[in-house]
Amino acid sequence: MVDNNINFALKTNNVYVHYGNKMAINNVALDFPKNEVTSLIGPSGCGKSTFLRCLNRMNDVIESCKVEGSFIMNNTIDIYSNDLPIESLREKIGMVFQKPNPFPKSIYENVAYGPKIHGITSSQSELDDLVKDSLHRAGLYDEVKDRLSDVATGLSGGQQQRLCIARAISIKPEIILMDEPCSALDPIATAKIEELINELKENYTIIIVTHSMSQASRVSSKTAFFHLGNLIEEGDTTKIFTKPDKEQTNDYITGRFG
Amino acid sequence: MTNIRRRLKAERRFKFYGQLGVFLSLLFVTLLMLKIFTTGSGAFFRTTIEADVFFDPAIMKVDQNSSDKEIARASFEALADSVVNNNFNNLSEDEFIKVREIFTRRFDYQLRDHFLNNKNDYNKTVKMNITASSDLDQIVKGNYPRNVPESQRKINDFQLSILDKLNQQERIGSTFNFWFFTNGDSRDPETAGIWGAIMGSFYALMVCLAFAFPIGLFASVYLEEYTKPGKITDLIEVNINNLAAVPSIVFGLLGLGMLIGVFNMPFQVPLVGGLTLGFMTLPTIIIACRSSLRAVPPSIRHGALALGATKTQTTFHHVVPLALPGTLTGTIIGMAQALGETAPLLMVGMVAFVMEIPGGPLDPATGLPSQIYLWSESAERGFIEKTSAGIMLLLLFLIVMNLTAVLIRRKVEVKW
Amino acid sequence: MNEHTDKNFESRLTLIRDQLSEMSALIEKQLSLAINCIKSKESDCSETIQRLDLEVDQFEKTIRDDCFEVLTLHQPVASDLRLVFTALKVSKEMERIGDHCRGLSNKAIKSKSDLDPEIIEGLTSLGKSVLSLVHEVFDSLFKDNQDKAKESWRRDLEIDKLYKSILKTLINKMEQNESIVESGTQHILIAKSLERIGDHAANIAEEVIFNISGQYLDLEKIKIQ
Repeated sequence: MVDNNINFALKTNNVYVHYGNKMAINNVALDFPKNEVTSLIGPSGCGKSTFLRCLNRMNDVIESCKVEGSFIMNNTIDIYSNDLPIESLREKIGMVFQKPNPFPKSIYENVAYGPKIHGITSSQSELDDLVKDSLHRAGLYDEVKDRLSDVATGLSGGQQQRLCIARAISIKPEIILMDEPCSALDPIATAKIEELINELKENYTIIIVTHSMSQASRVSSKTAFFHLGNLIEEGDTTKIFTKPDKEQTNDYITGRFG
Repeated sequence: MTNIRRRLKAERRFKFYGQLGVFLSLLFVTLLMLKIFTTGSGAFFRTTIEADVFFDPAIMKVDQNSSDKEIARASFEALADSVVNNNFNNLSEDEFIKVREIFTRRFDYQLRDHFLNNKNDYNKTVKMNITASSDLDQIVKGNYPRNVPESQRKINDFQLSILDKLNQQERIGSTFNFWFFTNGDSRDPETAGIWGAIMGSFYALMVCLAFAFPIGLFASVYLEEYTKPGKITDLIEVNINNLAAVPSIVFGLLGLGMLIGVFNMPFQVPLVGGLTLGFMTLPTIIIACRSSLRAVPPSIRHGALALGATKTQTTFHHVVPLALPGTLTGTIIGMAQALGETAPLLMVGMVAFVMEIPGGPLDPATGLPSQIYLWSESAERGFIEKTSAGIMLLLLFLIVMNLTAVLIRRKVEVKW
Repeated sequence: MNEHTDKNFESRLTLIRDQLSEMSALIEKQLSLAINCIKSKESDCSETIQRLDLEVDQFEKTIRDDCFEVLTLHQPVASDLRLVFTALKVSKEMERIGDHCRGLSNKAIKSKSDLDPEIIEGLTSLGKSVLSLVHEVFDSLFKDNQDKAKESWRRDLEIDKLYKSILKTLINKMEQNESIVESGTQHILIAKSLERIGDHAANIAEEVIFNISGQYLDLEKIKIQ
C-alpha cells in the first residue's frame, strides 16, 4: 500500500463509523490513487456505501451517524476540518447515485444549477459553453443537443444517469463518487456508463461502489473488499480476481457466500 | 362448487349495496339541487310595469345640461308621483297611495339612473319598464296565494284589480334581474343584491390568503426541513392537527377577543374577518404543505446537497417548488372552506345589514354566507327566493374553487 | 472452502475435478502396464493399453467440453478460474502421456526378445522412475501440495540424466554389434517416450504451482539455487 511513486487523490486512515451504538465501519484505512478507478465490493450491508458517503460528508445528513478518522485530500486538505465548508468540499468531490435523480427541470437547468450556485461562470455564454462541455464529456450531448429545454425526466434511465454524471462534472470536481450507478440500468446503458468511466478517469479520480463483481473487474484498476464493516483486502484488480490473499475474499468473489 | 357460488353471490350483493349507496346519495343531492334551483331561480327575474314617463321640465329640478353630480343629488320623488298620475287616471288619494305601492320604493332612483344616462330625454316621453314592488312581484310569480281573504294578504283587492288591468294591457313584464348581481343589500327585496356580500367575502378571503399562505408555507418548511425529530416537534404537529378540527366559532371568539378586544381593530370589517378566517385556515394549509413536502423524494435533496447546495438553497430551489402544487391545492380547498364559514364572521360582526358596497378591506361589509343567513331570517317573502339564489351562487363558487384544485392536482401528477 | 451458492456451478466444478482424478488413475495404470510390456512382451498387454487409451482420449474431450461450458455459463474467477484453466492444460498433458504409453508398448512388443538384459533392466528402471514421478505429480495436483510439485519438477531432471545414460549405453552396444541396430533403435525410441512422459509430468507440475499460487514460477532459476 505504501508506494511513493503513486500520487494519491485521497487517503483515509483509522475510519470508524457508528449509527447510534451500532458500528458500521471498523478501522478502515484505504488510499485512492489519482486518476484511477477504485471499486469497493462486498455483500449487502458490508458498509461500502456508508464508507463512500463519508468521503463527501453525505453522512452528515443522517442524524445518528458519527464519523471518526482521518480523510486527507491531495495530501493537504482535511475533509472533516471545521475550516472547510461542506459546500466547498462537495464542489471538489461529486457524487452520482444509484437511482438516477435528475431535477425535474430542463436538461440545461440540471447541468447549469451547480455552476450557478457556486458562481463558476461570469457570463451567460460561458455558462452555455460549460453546460455543453459537461454534456459532451458525459457522452450525452449528441443525443440531447436539440432539446436542451426539454424536461430531464423524459429521458431514458441510461440517459438520465449520464445527465447526472454531466451535472456532477459541471462543477469541475477532482473526485467523483459513484454509488452503484448502473444497478438500475439495462446492460447496454450499463456498458455505455462503463465506457464513460473509462474515459472520465483521464481527468478525474473515480471511486465506485458496485455489487457486480464483473463490473469491478471490467472497470477498476484497484479493488477493495469490505465485509461487515471491515476492509478485508485491497489491491490490484487483476490480482484480486486471479489469486486474492485472503480466503474470505476468494469465497466472496467466487460466490461461495454472501 | 357451492363455495364459489356463495362467494360470487356475496360479491354481487356487495356490489349492489355500493351501487345503492351511490344511487341514494345522488338522489338526495339531486333533490337538494332541484329544491334550491326551483326556489332560487325566481330571484334572477323581476317583474316590471310598463309606464309612460314624461320628463316634465316643470317638475324636474335639473335639465339635460346639469352635471352628473347635480343630477345624482336631485330628488326625483315628485317626478315619480307624476308618472303614477299620468298613467293611472282619476285616482283618489287612498287609491294613489295603493298604486304607488305597487311600484318599487326605489322608483325615483330608477328614474334618476335613467336620466343620468339619457339626458336628452328631457322634456320627452319615453316608455320605461319600472320595477314592481316585491309584494307584486311575488304575486305575479305565484309565491303569494291570491285566493285568501284580504286581511291575510299583502296585496289588497284594489291593487289586485290594477294588476289584472295591467295584465290585460300586457304591461306586466319580466326582465333579467341583473340588480341581484350589482346591488348591495336593501330593505326591499326587489332591489336587494348580493354584490356587497360578494365583495365583502372577496376582501376577507384576500386578507385570509395574504395572511395564512406565507405564514403557513414558511412554518411548514421550517417544521419539515429544519427541525430535528423529537418531543417538541411531535407536540407541535399534534397541536396543529387538532387545530384543524376546532369548531370555527372558536376562531370567531379568538378574533373578537384578540383582534377587536386587545388590538382595537374595527368591528365588522373584512380585514378582521379575513384575519379570523386566516387563523382558521392556517392549520389546513400547514397540513397540506407538510404532506406535500414529505412527498418530495429524499433523492432530490441528496442530489442538490451533493452538488454543494446549502440546505436553504436545496429547500427553496428544489423542494418547495415541487411541493407548491400540492400546497396550492390544499390552500384552495382551505379558501373554499373559509368562503362558506359563517360563525367566525358572526363573532366579528360581519353579519349586520350593510347597504353600501365595500371599497376595501376596511369598509364595513358582510360576507356571502352571512348575507344568506340574514335574508333567510327576514320576514319578507321576497327574500326567500333571494336566499336560495344566494345559496346557488355560493355553491357555484365552491364548485369552481374545488374544481380548480382538482385540475391543478391532475396537471401536477403527470409531470412527476 | 465453503460450498458454492450456485449448486449447479459447484457440481460442475466437482465433476471436472473427479474426471481429472479418474483420468489420472487411468494414466498411471496405462503407464504401469506399458512398463511391464517392456519386460514381458505379451501381445495382449498392448490390447489393454489401446483400450485404456481410448478412454483417456474420451476423458480429455469430456473435460475440455465441461471446462468450456463452465467458462461460458459461469464466468469463474479466482480459484475457480485457476481450476478450470489448470484442468484444461493438465488433461491435455495427460492425454499426451497416454499417447506415449501406447506408442512405447507397441514398440516393446515389436522388438525381439534377444536383447541384452542390461538394457531391459535399464529401461525398466527408467520406467519405474517415470511412474514414480507421475504418481508424485498427480499427488501434488490433487492434494494442492506446491512443494511436492516443485520436487517433481526437479526429479524430471534426474530422469533426463538417466535417459541420457541409457542412450549412451545403447549407442555403444549398437556400434559394437550391427545385428541389434533394429531392435536397439526400438529401445531408443522406448527410452525417448519415457523421457517425454517425464517432461509432460514436469509441465503438469508447473500447472499445479499456478493453480495453487496464481503464478507461473521460473523454475529454472529455482533450479540454479
